[in-house]
Amino acid sequence: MIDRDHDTVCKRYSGTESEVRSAVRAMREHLLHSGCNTIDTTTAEIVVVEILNNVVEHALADQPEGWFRLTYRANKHRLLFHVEDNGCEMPLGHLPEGVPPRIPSSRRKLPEGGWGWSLIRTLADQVTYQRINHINHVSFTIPIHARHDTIGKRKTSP
Amino acid sequence: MNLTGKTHDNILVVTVHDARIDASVALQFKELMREQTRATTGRVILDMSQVDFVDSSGLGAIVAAMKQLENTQTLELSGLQGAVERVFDLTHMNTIFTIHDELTDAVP
Repeated sequence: MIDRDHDTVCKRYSGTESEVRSAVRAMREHLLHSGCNTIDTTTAEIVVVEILNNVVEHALADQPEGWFRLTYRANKHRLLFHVEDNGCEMPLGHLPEGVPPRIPSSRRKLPEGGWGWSLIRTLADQVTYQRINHINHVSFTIPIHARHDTIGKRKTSP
Repeated sequence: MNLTGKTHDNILVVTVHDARIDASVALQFKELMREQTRATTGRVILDMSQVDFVDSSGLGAIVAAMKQLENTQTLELSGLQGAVERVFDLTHMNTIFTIHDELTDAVP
């Protein structure tokens, strides 16, 4: 029986794009190593990258001491994520609805971005936002389709 | 970020030699694509078989690379896999580009 409290992975990073890469690389390796299948790991990676890109590009844009913290664990059916940052509050105090950009008929007018929240809303469930003591908290879950009992459990030497 | 270009019969094949096109390299990718495609007039095929991840910023840079071309030119993609293919499907950008499973399907 695994003690779930010890299965949580939690790490703080400074608020830069290269740290987003590091955080996501570590998460991907950890999930795969823990028995998560490639499809679920990829789903998590797409969502976490978009969430963290938004944190770094928007919330932390004017924050010289910016940081984010990525925490995740698994239960039987889901990966559970929590992202905190010390950036500015979400505009209007809530998360974007994630309406995908319209695809125009003229290629010159094609969007060059704006898919982030639509990807997050499509792939993640239970997406919530709170602002507590000047810290942003975003939580979300990703359904898992394979046995996942060992996520967070450190590999021990024989 | 490393891109290389090779022309076969007026078809330019640009190969991406990186595993990720993401926010940290999106601008650089767009600029490198501008350099690679500057002198071309025909089809351009982006070989993405070495790329295993694209985020929305990277996707935006690929769209921007297409918009940099002349109206008469096309940007076609080949070798999309895993997360890359899923991001193109989920954003419906798979309907905008001609997508080849493999480079050999794109270039005669």
